[in-house]
Amino acid sequence: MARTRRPSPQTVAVLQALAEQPTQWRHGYDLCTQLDMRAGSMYPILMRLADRGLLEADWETDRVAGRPARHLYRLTGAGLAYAAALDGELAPAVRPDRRPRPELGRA
Amino acid sequence: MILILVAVLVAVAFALHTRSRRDLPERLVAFSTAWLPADRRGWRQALVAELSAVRGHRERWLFAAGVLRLALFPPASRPASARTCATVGALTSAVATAAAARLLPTLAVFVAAFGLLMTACATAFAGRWPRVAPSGTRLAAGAAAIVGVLAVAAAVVGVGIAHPAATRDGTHVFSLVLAASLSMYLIVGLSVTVTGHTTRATRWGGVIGASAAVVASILLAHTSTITGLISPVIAGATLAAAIVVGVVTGDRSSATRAGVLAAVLSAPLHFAITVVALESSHPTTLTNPYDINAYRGSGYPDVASYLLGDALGGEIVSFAVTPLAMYALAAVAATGIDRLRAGAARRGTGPGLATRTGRTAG
Repeated sequence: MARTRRPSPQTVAVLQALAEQPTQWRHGYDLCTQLDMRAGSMYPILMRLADRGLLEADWETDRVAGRPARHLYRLTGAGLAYAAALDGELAPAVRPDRRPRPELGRA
Repeated sequence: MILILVAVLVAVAFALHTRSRRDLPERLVAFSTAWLPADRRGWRQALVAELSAVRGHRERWLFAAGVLRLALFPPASRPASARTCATVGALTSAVATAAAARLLPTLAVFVAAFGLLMTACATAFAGRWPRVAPSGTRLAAGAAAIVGVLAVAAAVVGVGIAHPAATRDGTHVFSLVLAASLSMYLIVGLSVTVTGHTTRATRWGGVIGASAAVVASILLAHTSTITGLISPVIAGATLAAAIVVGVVTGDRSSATRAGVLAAVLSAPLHFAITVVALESSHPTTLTNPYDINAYRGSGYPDVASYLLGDALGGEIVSFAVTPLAMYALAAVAATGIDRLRAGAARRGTGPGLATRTGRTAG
């Protein structure tokens, strides 16, 4: 964590959404829907988190016929620690909307 | 008339080239993601796959628009390099513009526009430069693009120094068109280096086609065969690259891109060679009645400046329309090869038409 610049509220929201269920793999579009963010905002954040080693990505193994395998994301150990540290520092105003939503399966 | 013909050809070529069963958001995502840096290849596939899970017309368009935004402004792989490029480029542009305003006032607008656009291009590409060193063909294409653009700038400045009146541009239209065209050539040429738009066969086809065109341009520099709105040398290289890559790969997109790449890499050097050859021929004689009449009222101080200025204007117009015209030519050639292969496959006398969706990273 050499970078000390404060992350954007959107980045914090993504980190916290992923930290809610740290073992569960999430789809990028599902995160967009949950956080009401556009793909043009979500994917740069995911890319930066992956570049910094805070996020791991994998391809889904439970394939759905007729469409390609999708990318799945979850926080790494470093990402979880970073999210926890942010959670302790940040005011509730910047926390993501934790509205209830359907459970997302891995596939 | 020629411009209309080029526009019609481009429209037909685009229609032929983009026929697909995919909907427009899918095509937009596929197009946009190919502009992501080469080391973001996994993300390209991820974004294309993610769209398959997006339901609803509006949602698909919004997702595609987001991907386009991501492709235009991706997270910089090397933000420090981008900042350095922006700073150095802006300072260099300012100094060069000030020097041009003092020493070569007829080229001051061109130098300013060229400097700013080159700074923007360099900043964008420095931020996108992949962490892994690009392959030989990618580097060769990128180097050829940079050398070509610098050669054009040097040739124009050379004319400006020797014959300042030849580069006089009261409306600044030619200066701005040339600067914008050079940026376009550089963007297309360098995009081969850092993005995933091209296969290895495409890059080889483009680089070899461009090399052949440059050699031909040098050999024919003092003949009249390389003048005109569209150079037959560049057209020949474009056609050859598109046909050869089409035959070898069986992929229409690769063939079209090889043709366009051959044109984009060769046209700047062709421009520079033509301008240098014209200048070194020391034109002093007006040969046709139109020029004799036009020269009298043109205000040029000498015949050489008049002829060079006229030739430079024509070359700039040709330079600006060449990529579109060559795209049309390459797309038509690639489609022709595609149809021939399909016909041969149906008759069972040739190889089947390959359907390729993957790209080869170099």
